Amino acid sequence: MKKSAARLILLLFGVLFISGSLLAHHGEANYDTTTVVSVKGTVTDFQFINPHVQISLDVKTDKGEIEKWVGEARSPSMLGRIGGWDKNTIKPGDVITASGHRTKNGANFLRLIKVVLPDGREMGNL
Amino acid sequence: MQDQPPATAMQYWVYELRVEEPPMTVWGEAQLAAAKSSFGAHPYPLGETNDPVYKSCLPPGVPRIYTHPFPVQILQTQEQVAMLFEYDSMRRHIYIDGCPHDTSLGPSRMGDSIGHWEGDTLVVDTINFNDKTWLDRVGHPHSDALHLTERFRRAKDHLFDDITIEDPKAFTKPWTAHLDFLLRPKWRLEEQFCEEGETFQGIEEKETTPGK
Repeated sequence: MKKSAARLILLLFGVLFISGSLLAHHGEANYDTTTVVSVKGTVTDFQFINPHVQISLDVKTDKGEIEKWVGEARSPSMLGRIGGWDKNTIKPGDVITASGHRTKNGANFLRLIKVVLPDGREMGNL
Repeated sequence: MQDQPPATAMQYWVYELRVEEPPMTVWGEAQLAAAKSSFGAHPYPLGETNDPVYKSCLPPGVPRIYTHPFPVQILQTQEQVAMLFEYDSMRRHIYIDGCPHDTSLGPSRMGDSIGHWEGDTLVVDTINFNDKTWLDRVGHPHSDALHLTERFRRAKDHLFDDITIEDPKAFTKPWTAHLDFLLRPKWRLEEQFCEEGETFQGIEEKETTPGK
């Protein structure tokens, strides 16, 4: 970085990034990272907020019952610039397939790895 | 938008500064043993961590801020080099106008930084830290005697930070780490912090509530 006489220099640096699946996630102890679980359901809520984006789904079981699931992704800022998301990427009523690592105690909670949107697009880097 | 640098050069420092263990004192080893990090070889669940960032959403401090994978924006004027971190909206002001350290308001999480140029290398000296932060996300400690010396230089689209860490209470000798940042001309800083009502502990509660 050379010295600047009078002008303001702006630079923006990101971490030297790797694909999302290699990044350690805090609280990983809660998750079974050996298995990928996929559920298909209807979005009931889309919280595009810090510190983690959360997607709530109603998933119909084989018995016709409704299970409530939550999928968690990274921050809105990183989803936007790395994952190609914005606040309108999904909305309540959309049918999506969410895949990720489930919590070890059997909670209906996924640390998301991939989401398939209604139009078939596959979104990774979550 | 995806870059694929060698994983061996990158993966480890997502939550600590380098692969090798730093040379810790007895006090330092005890602090690390008491740290219940949600990272590392034996991670704790968020509900059990004593990490001030993930337990209470407290700011990360320096050099821990480098281990949170969010971008940093650098603004440079004649008086200072300001580092604006997306993570938790933290910032550092490195004064390059020749003024000495200012410790009059007491220690802080980010410390007090002054710098000078040696050719194309910005040399930054930081002192006046408090002891409220972890050195990294694994739980390596530091005391209020922490002294950082950083040498920043650019190489094309990379920004290298060669950092020397001195803290006689925590480490038996100074040790070094090499950080590598990639320039992202099209990125903008956004907001990142714990939302009201949506903290890491709130997420922990959702994660650990048995399925219905």
